[in-house]
Amino acid sequence: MTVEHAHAGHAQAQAQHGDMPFMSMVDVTKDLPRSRDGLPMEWVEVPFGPMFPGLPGGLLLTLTLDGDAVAKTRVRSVVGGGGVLPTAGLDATSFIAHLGAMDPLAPVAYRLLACRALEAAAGQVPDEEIRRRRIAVLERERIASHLGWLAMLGLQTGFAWLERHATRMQLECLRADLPRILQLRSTIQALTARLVRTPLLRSRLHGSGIVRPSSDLRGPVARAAGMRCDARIDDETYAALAFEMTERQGGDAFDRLHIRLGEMQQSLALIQSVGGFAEPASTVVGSASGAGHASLETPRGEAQLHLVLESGRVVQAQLDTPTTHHMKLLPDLLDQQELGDALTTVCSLDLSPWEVAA
Amino acid sequence: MISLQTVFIAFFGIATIGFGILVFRTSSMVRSALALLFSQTALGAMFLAMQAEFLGVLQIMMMATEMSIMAIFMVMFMMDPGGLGAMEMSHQKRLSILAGVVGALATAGIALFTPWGVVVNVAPPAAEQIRALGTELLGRSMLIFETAGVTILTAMIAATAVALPALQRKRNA
Amino acid sequence: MNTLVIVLSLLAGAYLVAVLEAWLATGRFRLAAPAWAAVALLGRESIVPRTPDRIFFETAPVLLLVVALLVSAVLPLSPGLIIADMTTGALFVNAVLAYVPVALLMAGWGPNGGYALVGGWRFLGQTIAYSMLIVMPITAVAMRAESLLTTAVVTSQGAVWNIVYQPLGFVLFFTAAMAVSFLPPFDLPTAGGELAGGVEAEYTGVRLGVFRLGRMVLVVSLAAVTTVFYLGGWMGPVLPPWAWSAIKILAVSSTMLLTGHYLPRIREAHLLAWCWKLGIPLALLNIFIVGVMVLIWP
Repeated sequence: MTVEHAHAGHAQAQAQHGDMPFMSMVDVTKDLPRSRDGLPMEWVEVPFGPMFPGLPGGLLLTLTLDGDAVAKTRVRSVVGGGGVLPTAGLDATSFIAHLGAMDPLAPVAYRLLACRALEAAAGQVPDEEIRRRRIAVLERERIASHLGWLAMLGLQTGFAWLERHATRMQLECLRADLPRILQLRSTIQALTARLVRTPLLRSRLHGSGIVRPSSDLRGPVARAAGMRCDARIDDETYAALAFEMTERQGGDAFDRLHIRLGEMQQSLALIQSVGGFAEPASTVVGSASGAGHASLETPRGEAQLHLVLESGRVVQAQLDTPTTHHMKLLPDLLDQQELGDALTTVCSLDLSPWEVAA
Repeated sequence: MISLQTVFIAFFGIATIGFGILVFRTSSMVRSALALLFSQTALGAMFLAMQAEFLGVLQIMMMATEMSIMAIFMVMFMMDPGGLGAMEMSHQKRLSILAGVVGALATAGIALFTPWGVVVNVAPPAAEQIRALGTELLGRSMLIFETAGVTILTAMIAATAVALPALQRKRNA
Repeated sequence: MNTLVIVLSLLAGAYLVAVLEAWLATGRFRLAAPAWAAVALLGRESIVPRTPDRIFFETAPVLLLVVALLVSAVLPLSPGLIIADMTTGALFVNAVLAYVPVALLMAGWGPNGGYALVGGWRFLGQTIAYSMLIVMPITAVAMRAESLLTTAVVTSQGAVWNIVYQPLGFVLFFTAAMAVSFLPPFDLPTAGGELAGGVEAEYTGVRLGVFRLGRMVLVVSLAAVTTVFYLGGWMGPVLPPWAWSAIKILAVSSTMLLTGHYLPRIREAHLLAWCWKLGIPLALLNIFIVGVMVLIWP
């Protein structure tokens, strides 16, 4: 990494003023960018990512630093756009696999989304038990995803214990069958209780990255900002399982932590009342044609899929993912934040660069 | 016969002067500040070698933080702190040379014409020095030091108070 | 002779602390881990970044190591086992520690890299936060000993150790000592998830090895300072004095490492605010309390 920072001199300014007997600070600094505090300083452009500890892999964040405050933010995903449909289209089963492979951080959610959209296009309704069991798989992924986020938060904030503990729990959760995952309940409760009590964690997260309700918020980020924004509240299957949405008002990183901790326990309760898993791997659409739409609450928020089916082949698909919207928030959200706070804010949004639209 | 003490004093003395020259021989502000720091540190070490322990340790301690802070202010307020523009670090050369020569002559004069023998004989050992210094600070000189301390504190608070409204105006603008 | 013994025991202590750190990081206890890590670092190419300030870049790791070793020069590990029993020993500790930020500042400025630059200047802010919390508790310790001699500080704790006599001072000093050695949660200049190593980020190979060694020795030295100032130094029943020193120093350094393992990193602004608004008043209160206690119960 090489950056043009304070070492890089003002050859030009020097040439103009080199023959002056005294240094004139006003002249020399007149072309430098002004910080918010009025001090003219050279700004340093530093890349964070695409492989930075504590940030999601594949996210390239370029921060222009004024001292240690963020003056400008550029953000892009270097692994996004995987969900684009090949021009020839895809048959139903490959489409499900294709969408599932797009985001390695939430494969089940996108496979399920594909299944649901295909079924909507073909006009099929799978039976109640299948739908319930698919929800259980989705909720298991939500727990695993939130644990993965906790591990990343641990890495980002230098909280070594959390990083190791959450990583171990995530691996356990990914492999778990029903009895095993229900055993996780006490561990997750203990983790929640412990994180709420941990000194410095509250002060670290409280007041960082406050977001106000807007149309670009999705999932836990929106719910932490007091928005009733959850694809699950309109879903009959969830309603039958007595699902209740949780929300908080603050909208900062600490609220997002609370929302995610609460959701893990909620998901466990949902899995328990379903009592079985059904992987959404394939669905039979035959040679049906039609247009379908599905929306689903991924671990990061609501994703939507519109697709057109022509005699059993997907010929058009349009995907809307939460991270695509959240990335737009960053430049305003990080402006003038201290570097550490800014990175904690990025981490707390739980971005998945894989699911960003091309 | 040259004692080990003389060797150390000479070594640190030369280091002091050497680093002092370096301050002006570089065009990097940060290097310049740290050269000044090490010049002062060498001076502190020279005091240690001269058995003025408290003075030496105090010198070594105070300079480190002060010079580091000076370095950050230079980076903040000066152009070209890295010195890539090959900036000249000396100004008003004739006046400074004159001041330097006069200063050197005066110091050499004091060194040569003071009857050091008397001073050396009455100088107490290190532990005694510290005790005497403490008694002095809490006795006769207390008023002077307390006044100076309170004045500096007042100045710091006043400076902050003066800066705050200006900062507020800039923020609002 | 004393010098050799103390330097060797310091290095041994640093090795054990490194073992412990590796144990915490990987979850496996391997006695040879730091040795292998050191061999790996020695064998690796030591890359110099583009357009560095070469003098600073080369000097910084060495300066950190020298500082860490110098701190221990005035600390007695057992009666008579001390390199230099200076009459200003307690003040000397503080004077030498003032060069830790200088070393880090040089390491931050030298390599011409963004992460390092921010890390180096950050530590200067950290210095402004912790430095009063080093010097003020030391003042209270010296008040009880009525001397700046570190040996006198130890013997003054014959009846009751300073950790009991002035617990407030101990807590403040212990916290500040962790901040000096930039251990988590005060690892702002190296911050893994923020600066990807910060001041260490541009160092590789041998230079990184020296830097890490310097940091480890610094941790052990500060643990030794804590032991001498607050835990009665070499004093203890049954075992020989040097054993007590060793046990206490290792216990303090492990506590320092373990504490950080269970806490997230502190925010720079909070560190400054808490140190100045809470820490300094408490340190002054500590001096006052100790002053009164010295008069009524020496």
